[in-house]
Amino acid sequence: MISSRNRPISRVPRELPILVFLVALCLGLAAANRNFLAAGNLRTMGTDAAAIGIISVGMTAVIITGGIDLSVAAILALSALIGGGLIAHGSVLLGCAATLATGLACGALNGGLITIARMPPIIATLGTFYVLQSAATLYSGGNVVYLAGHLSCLGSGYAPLAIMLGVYATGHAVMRVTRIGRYVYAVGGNEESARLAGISPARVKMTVYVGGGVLAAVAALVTMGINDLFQANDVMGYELAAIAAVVIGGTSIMGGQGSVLGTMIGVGISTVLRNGAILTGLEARWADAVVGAAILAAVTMDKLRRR
Amino acid sequence: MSTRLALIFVILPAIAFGVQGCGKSGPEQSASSASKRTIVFVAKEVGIPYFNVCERGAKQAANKLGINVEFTGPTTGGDVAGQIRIIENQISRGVNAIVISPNDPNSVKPVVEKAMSRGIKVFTWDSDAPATKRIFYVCASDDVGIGTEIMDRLAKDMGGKGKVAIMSGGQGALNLNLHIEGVMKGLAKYPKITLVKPIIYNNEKPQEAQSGVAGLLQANPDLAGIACVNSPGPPGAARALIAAGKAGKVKVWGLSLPSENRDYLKSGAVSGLILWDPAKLTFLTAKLVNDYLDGKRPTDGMEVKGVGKLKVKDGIVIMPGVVITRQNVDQFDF
Amino acid sequence: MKTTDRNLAARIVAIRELPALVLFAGLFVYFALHAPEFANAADLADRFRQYVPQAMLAVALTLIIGSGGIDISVGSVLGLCTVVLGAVTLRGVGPAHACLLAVATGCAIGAFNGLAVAKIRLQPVVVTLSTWGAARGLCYVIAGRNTSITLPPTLSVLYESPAPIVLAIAVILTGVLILHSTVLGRGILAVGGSEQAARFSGINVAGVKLRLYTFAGAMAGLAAIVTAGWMNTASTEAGKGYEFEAITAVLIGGTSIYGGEASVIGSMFGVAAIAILSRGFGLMAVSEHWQRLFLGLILIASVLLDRLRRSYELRVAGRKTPGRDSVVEVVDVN
Repeated sequence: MISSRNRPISRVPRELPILVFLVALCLGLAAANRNFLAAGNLRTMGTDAAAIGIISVGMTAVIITGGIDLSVAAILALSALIGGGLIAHGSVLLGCAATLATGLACGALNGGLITIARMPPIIATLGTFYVLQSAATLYSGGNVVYLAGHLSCLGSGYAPLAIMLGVYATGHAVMRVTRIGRYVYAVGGNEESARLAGISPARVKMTVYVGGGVLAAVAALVTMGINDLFQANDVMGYELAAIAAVVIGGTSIMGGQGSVLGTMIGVGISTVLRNGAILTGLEARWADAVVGAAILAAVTMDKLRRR
Repeated sequence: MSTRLALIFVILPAIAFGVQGCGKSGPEQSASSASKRTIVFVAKEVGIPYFNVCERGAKQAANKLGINVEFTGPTTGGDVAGQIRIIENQISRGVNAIVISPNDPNSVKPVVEKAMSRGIKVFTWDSDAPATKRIFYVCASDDVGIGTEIMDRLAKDMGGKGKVAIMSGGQGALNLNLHIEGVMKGLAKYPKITLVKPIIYNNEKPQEAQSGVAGLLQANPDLAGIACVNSPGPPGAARALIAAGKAGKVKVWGLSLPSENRDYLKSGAVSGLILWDPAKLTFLTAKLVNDYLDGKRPTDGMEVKGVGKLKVKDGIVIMPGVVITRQNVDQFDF
Repeated sequence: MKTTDRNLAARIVAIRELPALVLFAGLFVYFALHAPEFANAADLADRFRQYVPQAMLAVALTLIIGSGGIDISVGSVLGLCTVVLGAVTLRGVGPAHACLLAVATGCAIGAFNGLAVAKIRLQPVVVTLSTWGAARGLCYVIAGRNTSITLPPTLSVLYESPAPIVLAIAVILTGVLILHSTVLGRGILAVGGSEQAARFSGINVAGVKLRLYTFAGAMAGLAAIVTAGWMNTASTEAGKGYEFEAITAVLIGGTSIYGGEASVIGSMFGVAAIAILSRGFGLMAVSEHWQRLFLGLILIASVLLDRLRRSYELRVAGRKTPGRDSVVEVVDVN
């Protein structure tokens, strides 16, 4: 039976160093500004992290299979705009369905290029990024879609945070407990062995890219709920933020190992850094340099532990 | 290896020579030999709300004036290099006039000179390139002055005291930095108003505007006012204030489109906006450029139908702007 | 098919650069026929000159990707080097020394990337993603209020001279020579093929990687000088997007993303294709959004073409699995 875990011999969970880093960061910021741990601020951070957090779950599975998805932000944008038009006019359920369907279709497009046309994922998804982002702008004419509060239930209070945590819990469970989760690790670890063991790598890969597309659509709905509007350029760069969160979380870009829990900690680190910069009055021009350095520090710590 | 090289070094020159033979003329006529006059607007970025409205004005001008008015620009924000390349394309096409809103006024200097040397007239609109030889610049405000005006109106609403924050777009956006300079100048007049750190850069994204203000509110619960210098600012600030239950208590003034702030102005989450009609600005520019190509220059105090009275001084044409509040927001369709 | 024909066909199809060459040639011919003023030699030369920075970055990236790594920070490093150039010029440093400092900055960041990848053994994507953000942030830190500095004319004069073309050719030749004729080149491809195997055969893997990333940094520094000359400005926005253009060019050019196979010439065709794409479509007045869409389709098409090429290559060779060498010995299987 294929092991569902890729644990090293040591009993220390692999996510421990970055978790320690995150906790240390939080304690430091709480000391610097006591409002950091206020309920309002936690809600703010949860809202800020939600969209990127949700797509990071899908990205985790994709990267574990040894692939990558550079088009998630474009999928988010296109599905938001296609569904958003309907939602704005009152057809909320139909609009949500359209958004999810678009995410699924785009994910299937990626999956098809990668499994049927056998394209390397980085090229396939770079190509679909260009195509889908342009499609989003052309479809919407670059105009803003106003949702008039129809999706506020998804965007207010603790809803974004709750939805993100729900997606994480589900993702964690799927990857650890279900058969498809084990297959994802198997295909990422050694595709040939997986195939010989009777797993269809093509089917597994198609599943993770479709899953990534659907999660991008979920993130689209949450984003529209939070901002009450959407414009084609609003989420540019989210794919890099998701990749950053996944690799900070300890998932190897080579595939075969990693965890959704690690990704969650990675998202936590990025969010806390951004929020912390504002709370401590750190000027934006220093913030980018500090964030880059902090990411390197987190990953290096993780690497040194595993030596 | 040798077959590879041979093929490459044979095919390429063959194409180059063969095509050179077909040379300059394609089956389509180049723009300069076309009968219709062509003016091309090169915006900072296309596909975003502000410049979409500008594009409407360009289309209106094309219809009304009976000429070719095109509207283009890079698809990503702050794309200095991409904008220069687009301008170069217009030069190659041999259009009659190019109107630029430069991402970087210094970087476009070489390409503006190249255009002028080929007989193409170059103007600026919305954002200037004063160091270049552009013929004139059409705008609705002075970049620094408008920042000061925002601060003045905000200070009035704040009662002259309290903590104020500034929100901008991108750190490298030159006109936004000039607006900030204006805000700072205004700030100096109010000793009882203090500026909180940091300045929030929302990178033109509603989510970052919202999160940024939410963070500021956490760090400074007694924040009294926010000065926004780019469009996503006021609506993002409004949403953050509403979520924190502080809408109306914290005053917000900014440069933003009324269409993005209608509900917030009415509910008081946003106190007021200062702007101009981008479509009118663009239409006016097209008209003035067209007139210039016919030999007519803009004059100080001239009245233009549908726009108003123009101020013209030292190559800068200024059209009236608007202050938008809850009282008049419904008059505007941009 | 006669054996000699099959030999020739096999050797043509075996050319890794074929899809990129076909793509470039096809686009060139198409635009020459359909885009007005496309084949104007002077303007075309200008366009290729503008892409010298991307070409130099693409050479470095070809080697890095060939070794199984990646570097997405080159654009931001280019920006940082430009800002350093501007900052020291403001303080009175002459152009020659300023350029040296710019290249030194690039080498320093490149070496930093290299050490993190080679010695600490961090994943290249993580390291260069961090550097990508941090270097751009440092641009704003160093520039402060001077986000756009006009430079003295020396660099612009240099830019208009044949110097950038000569530089580009020198860099391309260096890249080709390293890859095909040196021990380092064999080491690069060995590491790309299998890092374990390379290590066991005694190759100094860490040394190879360190040199590659430092080389990329140096190229970013040189490219910064060319960019500064083109824009006559040291801008904090310099180089934005260049890394994606360069990587796209390398992928179009036939270098395998998995490492082990690389082609500098192919990458150059990729750069050339991207260079004429925006010019050709721009001259045809195609909207920028459609241009980006076409770029995506072209990228996908070029890889599919490569797939076709490979399967034809196998069929002609009478093989079922791909071998290491691409020029195959044909055996008459009848």
